[in-house]
Amino acid sequence: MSVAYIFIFLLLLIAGAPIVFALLIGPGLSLALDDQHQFYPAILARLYNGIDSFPLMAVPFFILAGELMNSGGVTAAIFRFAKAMIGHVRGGLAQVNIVTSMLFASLSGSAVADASAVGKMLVPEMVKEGYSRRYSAAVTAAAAILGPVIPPSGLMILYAFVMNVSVAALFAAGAVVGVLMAGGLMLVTMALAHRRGFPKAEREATWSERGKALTQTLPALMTPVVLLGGVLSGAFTPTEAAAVACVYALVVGIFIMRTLKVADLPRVFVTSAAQSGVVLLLVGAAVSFAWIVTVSGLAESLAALLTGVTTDVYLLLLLVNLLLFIVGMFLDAGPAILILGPVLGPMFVALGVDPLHFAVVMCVNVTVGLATPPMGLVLFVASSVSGEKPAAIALEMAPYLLMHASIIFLITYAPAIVTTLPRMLGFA
Amino acid sequence: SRGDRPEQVISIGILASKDDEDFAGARALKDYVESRAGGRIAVKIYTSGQFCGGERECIEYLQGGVLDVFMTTFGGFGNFFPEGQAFELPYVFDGDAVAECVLDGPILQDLRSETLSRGLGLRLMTIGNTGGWRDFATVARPITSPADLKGLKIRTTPAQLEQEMVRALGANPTPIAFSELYLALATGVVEGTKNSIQDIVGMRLEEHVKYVTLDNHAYMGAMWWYSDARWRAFPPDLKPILEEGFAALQHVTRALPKERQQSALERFKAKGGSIHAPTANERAAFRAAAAPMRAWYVEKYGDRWLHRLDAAVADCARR
Amino acid sequence: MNFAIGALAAVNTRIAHGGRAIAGGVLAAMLFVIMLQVVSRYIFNSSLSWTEELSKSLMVWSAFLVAPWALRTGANVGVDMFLEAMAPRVRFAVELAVSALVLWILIILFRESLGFVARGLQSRMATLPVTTGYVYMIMPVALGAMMLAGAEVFLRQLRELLTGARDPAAPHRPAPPTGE
Ligand code: NA
Ligand code: NA
Repeated sequence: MSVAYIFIFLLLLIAGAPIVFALLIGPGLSLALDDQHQFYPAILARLYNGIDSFPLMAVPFFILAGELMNSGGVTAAIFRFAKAMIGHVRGGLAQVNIVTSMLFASLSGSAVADASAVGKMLVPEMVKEGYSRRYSAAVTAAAAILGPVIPPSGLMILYAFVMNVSVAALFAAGAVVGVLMAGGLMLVTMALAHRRGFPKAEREATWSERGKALTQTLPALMTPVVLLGGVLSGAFTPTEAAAVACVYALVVGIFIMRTLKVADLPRVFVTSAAQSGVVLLLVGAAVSFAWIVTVSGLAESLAALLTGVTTDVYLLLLLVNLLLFIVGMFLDAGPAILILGPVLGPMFVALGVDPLHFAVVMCVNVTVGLATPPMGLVLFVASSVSGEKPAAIALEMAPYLLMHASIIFLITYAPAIVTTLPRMLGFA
Repeated sequence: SRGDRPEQVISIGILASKDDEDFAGARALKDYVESRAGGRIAVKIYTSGQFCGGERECIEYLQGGVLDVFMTTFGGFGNFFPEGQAFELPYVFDGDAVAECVLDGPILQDLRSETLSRGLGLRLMTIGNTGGWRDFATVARPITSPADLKGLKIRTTPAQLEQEMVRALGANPTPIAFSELYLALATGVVEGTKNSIQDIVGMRLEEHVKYVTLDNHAYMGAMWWYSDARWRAFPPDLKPILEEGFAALQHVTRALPKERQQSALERFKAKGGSIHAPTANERAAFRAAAAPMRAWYVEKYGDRWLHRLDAAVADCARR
Repeated sequence: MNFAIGALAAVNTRIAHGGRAIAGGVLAAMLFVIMLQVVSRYIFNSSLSWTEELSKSLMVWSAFLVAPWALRTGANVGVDMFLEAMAPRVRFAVELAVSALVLWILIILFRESLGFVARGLQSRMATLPVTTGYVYMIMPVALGAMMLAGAEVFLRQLRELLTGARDPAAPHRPAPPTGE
């Protein structure tokens, strides 16, 4: 079996083919050229079975939960709360953007949901207060990366599913890294705010205003407590938690905050099904692609190539981070995990790296790839909510990307940051 | 050059990881066949579901000629050959010697020819083992009689037969994915499980499970299949080597679980677990309590295969 | 050609909207089944064996039900950075070539899906009272519908190449990104 598929795939990407089809045509054409039609059934069956997975069910449910929270005003309530708390410092609204993103990240498993929810609401507000449209989009995209790092995380569920790592352990590690990343973003914002003289709110909110904002947001802020508490106490499995999140968002939206109308529900369900269908099909196609990568032996060759360069684990970790960063420019985070996880994971575990540690490094790295050009879904969303070109936003994001990269560096070489909390909780 | 390439590439798909006896068996087959076929055969082993992610999908690949070799449990066999669940009925085998004698006997040929004659496109090569025996393992109290199981929530696979069996013994079957079992035991979603001691220790379940009763209610048989389409296209002069390769595979997959059971038992005890080996009387009580399962099976699938199995067991027990 | 495009568009619009609407209902059903699983375990203290397999199958169905719509409207994400740098005629030609390949792989997969269903009819689902083949039938159905959508896209892009004029209904504008 030749590896022509990888070149066909890249060519198709350049030609603007939808990625889901590039992932299928590459192997299909490659097998046709090799006259190996007997493997066609596998392309189809892997496409089907790649989607037919219980842990994957978190993806449609978290997309649905995000839609329900948007339609139900939960996102808006979170913004009001964050603004009341820190809107008065210099660059306050930019910081609010980050905090809102972080809180939203603890409700949703997706960076795209995070970027579109926060971006739609905050970019216009920021522009109104005098920030540039380009910067507003950039900070939105940089902060949306927290979506799949802070639990729950569709991406980590995907990794856990492909690589058989504990979801709970990944979530616990992700919480630590997510808070670190949010802190890093806020530091960068502080520096930028002083250098560029960012605006700040006229006056500080009073404590009674803050209290009022808190009470209004409380049901929404309880979501992570309900979800994490439910999973950790064993009331439901991580996959079931995603469904519980939907029901909770329904109840909060309809009965408590009363901003969600029953008449809106059919639209919300259809939109969510359409969005998740597109993602699921991409996952299925990536699983199909990963099959030919495995069977053709490319995975082993790549691993051999990496280990051929050096056998020093520290150097290899640096190389793999560079590789993932480059891959992240072109591949979406989900497919990157599905294709490279099974290749790189076992290789590093064999070299003595903790499977959980590697899982987190890989997940965070490809997540940052969501915001790097040319192929970055978060960048596309930030572009569509702001009207700025993706390349311009990416350039503006440079200081933030640098901060993300340093945190990846930090967690790569200080594994204790990643593994301590999961160990303390007994998941790893 | 082109001439150096093997004429046959045999792909073996395995769901388990490289630590499993399934892989060790496949490795034995690979070593045997490759060393004796003079470079004409290459064997590739794909572990951890890299080739196909589940029993159903892998079986379909065998049928389509995409994959050459795959292993199913008796439970998986029941999905395309429902009567085959007779082999999973509780307490049909008394010990390794009887089970191995039966599964190497004429019944193997019966199973092979009947599967082929039904047009399933699958050729049964040999029956080994994957993990030893299923036993009851509980969190809070030891199980010495069926009465001890009353009302306990016991984890099972989704297979109907396993659930019926747990119900017959008076417990509540709770189907849960194996990957979620640790958390389910930790949080009381279930109060016990039925797995081999090797799988219990392998998943670190001994951190919660404290009692294991070696009731050996099910033999974890491993049925190794060859794609019939690929078998018929296989060079006839190499077929004997391949069959000997499967004998090597069977030998390893039967020997390894026995070794591993010993070390797993020791580890379980070292972690503070207690092990109960039922006496002959206790075992008879379990067998009697599970007896309605035979009627359940016969009503659903007829008695033909159960009779064959009973006769084979009686025959082997006499030896 | 205009007639063929019009006829395909009429059929495909219905399929796309119908598929999306049903997928929305299927998503609601998935939510219901999973909640039933949680609730039955806690309130009735007994587990349902069929919820996992049913909800997984529903998820596969929902994904394939929206696929014809996604193909037709360009909701499947791609990289259009390089396309934007091309001269219009070149771009039309490249897009047409991609569409031809999409149609080709759909035909291959459709043919395979027939065997897929046939083999599936020989094995039963683990917990549902049907053979796997019935669940697999979504594949030929969806792939057939995707072939129709793919044919329409192909013809629209062929017309673009021939006339040199943009077709506002052809799905090659950067689409709103979806999901993670
Ligand atoms: Na999240
Ligand atoms: Na990227």
